[in-house]
Parts: sequence; C-alpha cells; structure tokens
Amino acid sequence: MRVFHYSPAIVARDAVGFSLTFLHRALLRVGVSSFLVCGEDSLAAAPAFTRTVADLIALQPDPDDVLIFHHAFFDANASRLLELSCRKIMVYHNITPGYFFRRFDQIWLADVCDQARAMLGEMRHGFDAVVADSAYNAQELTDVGYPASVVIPVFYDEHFYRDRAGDNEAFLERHMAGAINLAFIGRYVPNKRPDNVIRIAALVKRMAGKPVRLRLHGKVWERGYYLSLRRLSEDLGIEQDVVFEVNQPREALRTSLASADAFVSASEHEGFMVPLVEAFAVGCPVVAMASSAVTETCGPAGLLVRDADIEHVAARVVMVHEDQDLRMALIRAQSARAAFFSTIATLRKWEGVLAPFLEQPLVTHAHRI
Amino acid sequence: MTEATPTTLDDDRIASAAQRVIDRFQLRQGSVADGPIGTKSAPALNADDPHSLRLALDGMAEALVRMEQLQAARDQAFTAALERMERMLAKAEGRIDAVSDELAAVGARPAMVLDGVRESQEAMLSAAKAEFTAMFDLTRSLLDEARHLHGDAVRKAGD
Repeated sequence: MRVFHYSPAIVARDAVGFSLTFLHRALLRVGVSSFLVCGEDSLAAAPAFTRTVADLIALQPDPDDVLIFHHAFFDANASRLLELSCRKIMVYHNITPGYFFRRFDQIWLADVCDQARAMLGEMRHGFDAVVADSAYNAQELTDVGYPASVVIPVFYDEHFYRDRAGDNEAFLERHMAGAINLAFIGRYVPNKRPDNVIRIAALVKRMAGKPVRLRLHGKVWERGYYLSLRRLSEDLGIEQDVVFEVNQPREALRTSLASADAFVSASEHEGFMVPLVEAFAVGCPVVAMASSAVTETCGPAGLLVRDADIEHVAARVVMVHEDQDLRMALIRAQSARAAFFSTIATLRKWEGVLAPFLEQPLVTHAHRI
Repeated sequence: MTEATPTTLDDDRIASAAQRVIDRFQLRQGSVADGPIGTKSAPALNADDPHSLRLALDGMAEALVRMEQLQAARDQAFTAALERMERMLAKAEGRIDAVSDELAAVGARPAMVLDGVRESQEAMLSAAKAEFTAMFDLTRSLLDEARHLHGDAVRKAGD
C-alpha cells in the first residue's frame, strides 16, 4: 500500500502544509510508502522529494493505495485525481466565502473561492472517507451532501511552540518597554479583519492610557488591501504603534506570542485557526471575537467575545492586562486546551481513520517524549 | 574617568560619596545593560573655587537621578521575570488539569483504550516536566543574580 498526500500547493510553513507533511513523516516512520504530491506550478516551493500530479498518475495508483486529498482552495487537478482507482480520503480545511473578498473589490479572488466552494458539492460522491478539521467544517460538508465526517484537527508544531529557547530575553525586553503588547497572526485578508484588530489596538491605547505595541504577522495576498491597513493605522494615529510583519520566520512568531499581553482576533471566518492553539501552547492570553470555528477551537479556553463590538474586545484586552488573576486563569485553561490538540492526540485520531490500512500503530515512543 | 581631587574635608566626603554612588551605578548597569554606565568625567575641583561644593552636589544629584532610573529598570525586569514565571506556572497547572481530566475519564472507558490513555499521560508528564524545568532554571538564574548583587554590595561596604 502507498499513501499519497495531495494538496495543490504544499508549503511546509503554512498550517495545511505543516499538517500533511507531519502525517506523511509519521507514516514513513512506521514503514508506510508515503508520498507528497502537489500541482506542477507549486513544485518549486514544495518540500524535497514532492511529486507532481503527473508523477502520481504515472505511478498508476491501484485500489490498495490511498490518496489523502486536502481541499482548501480552487483545485484544477481535482477531476483528474478523482478518476484514479485508489481509495480516497477528503480532508476539508474550509474555503473562505467569496463575499469577504467581493466587498473589498477583490473580484478575482472572490470568484475563485466561490468556484472552489461549488466544486466541493460536485465532488461529494468521490471519496471513501471524509475528514474535517473542525465540526464547523464537517457541518459545511454535510450541508452539501457528504457522508458523516471524522473531525481531526490539523497538526501544529507542538514541540516548537512549547520550547522557550530565546523567549525569556524577548519577554523581559518587551515587558520592560512598558507598552501593552498585542499580537495577531494571519494572512492580510478581509475575513480575518486585521482592520478591526488595528481599531482595537487604538481603543486599548485610549482605554488603558498606556502605550500599545501591536504586531501583525502575515502574508500579503492583495497589495491594495494591505496598504489600506497601513493607511488605517495612520488615520487612527497609531502608525508608530503598529508593526506590520510579512513572511517572518516562525521563531519571530513564537517570540511575538510569548511576549504579548494578548493575542487578539477579530476574525469573522476560520475553518480552524491554528494560531489560537499556538498561542495556547506558548502561554499567551487570547481575546477573540466568537465566530465560525474560532469558538470551537477555543473550547473552554480563551476569552471569547460574543458581541461583535470592537469596544467590548478592547475592554477585555485591558482587563486581561490589568487583572493578573484573570490572566493566569486564562493561561491555565488555554494550556489544558492545548493538550487536546497535542500531536499524540491528533495522531491517535488519524490512526483511527487509517487503521484498516496500517500494519503497526502510528504512535511511536518518539511521540511520547 | 578622571578622579576628583578634593582638597577640603567637605569636598572629600562629598566626592567620596559621589564616587560610591557612581560605583554602584556601574555595578547595576553592568548587570542590566551592555558595558559600564556612561557617566561624564568628574571635574577636578579647585579648593579656592567657591563653586566647588555646588559642582559636586550637582554631579551627585545627576547621579542620583540616574540611579533612580536604573532602579526603576531593575524593578521592571524583576516584575517581568515574575510575570514570566507565573505564566509558566499557569501553563504547567493547565497541563496538570488536562491530565486530571483524562484520569477522571479513564473509568468510563473500555480496557482496550487504557494503553492509549497511558501513552497520552506519559506525553503530558514529559511536557509538564519541561515546563517546570524551565521555570526552575529561570528562578535559579534570578537567585544567582540576586546573590551576586548581594555579594558585591557586602564587599563594597567592607572596602
């Protein structure tokens, strides 16, 4: 049996790329012939030894083989892959609805996202098993006619985010500067509402009467939208207090989380939101607007704001900053929640799905230490 | 740095006191920042100059302000270090909570999954140990620093 992990693009640093690469390596470790496969156009950015769709078709997968098909965006290769005679497992990571982009005149992106969502329904009979990152994603699949999904969260780099190498120094340095440190990690796209995070930072500054330092980390998808965020920070008079970080190494993200007084999310649409779990693991208090899968990922942890009002979010950020007991209680609950998304817990869930194909358990001693 | 050369009793006392203040500054600065404190050279005071005392007092006042700033920085560093340790403690408590929850759920599970529970708890135990180890390391480094400062203060007082 061979296992093929397919995504149109595989970037080891993004959430889907890390997760599928992690499962691929776990399978290799227990002796399964596992392969990464991506679209021809994305091969240059993919990890070493990744195959293309053409390679996969040339390998002629047979009914004993398994294709794990990750769906998170429009995929021109989907129909070719669904024709393969191997068993197929769909992993759904959610697709942002087009209207989030359309209202900012990002018409091309909006259309592509809508096409990808439409494609989801068309593929509903093509899989032997269905996996979703969250119950929220599973519900979307059910709504378009898929059979019941198994909910398995994505893998996150648990050991990296729990390692504190270098964090103590950054923590002391940033705390000694006297500002309230806020952080957000996510692409600069409209559905994640980085604009509202900037507005919240401006409100926190006024409410607390203290300097604020907001660090935004992400990738730029559309230059016009990114520039509008910079203009917004100028309009609010906090351009000196907002740091726009682009494509930073993950060490910088961890340091930012570790030294922040709060991770602030105003996102309106998420299929899972890995940075929440990373903040939980690092020990950074989370204040987030309740929406989509954010509520589910936070579970009993994080300070969720159900009222979609940025003033309420800002007030809670100030509370977390000023009330040490609240802050520590949050961190404690978040640390317990992070254990729910531990590598070993997620591997065991995958073991449940892949058990019929595996000769030995996926969880090895290396995962226990 | 040019040494002050006091020529009267009063100037001598004041200059010595100011020098001790500067020494303490440098000691503290050396532990919180790069290199020694950047104090300006002490003026060579002339015994016949009626402004000598005033100059020495000005220098000392300036040194005291700087000392207060350094003390404030040290306070902030300790406060931040304590916050860091408390966060680590809260994280470790959270992990113990997770283990407790899992233990509570063990009774309700069939025997077949007990191995899985044991594996999970072994992983959590490793993580909790890592949390505590980091916290203890930080505490030890803070204690070492405090011990070092105390030792220096005692040595200076005996000079």
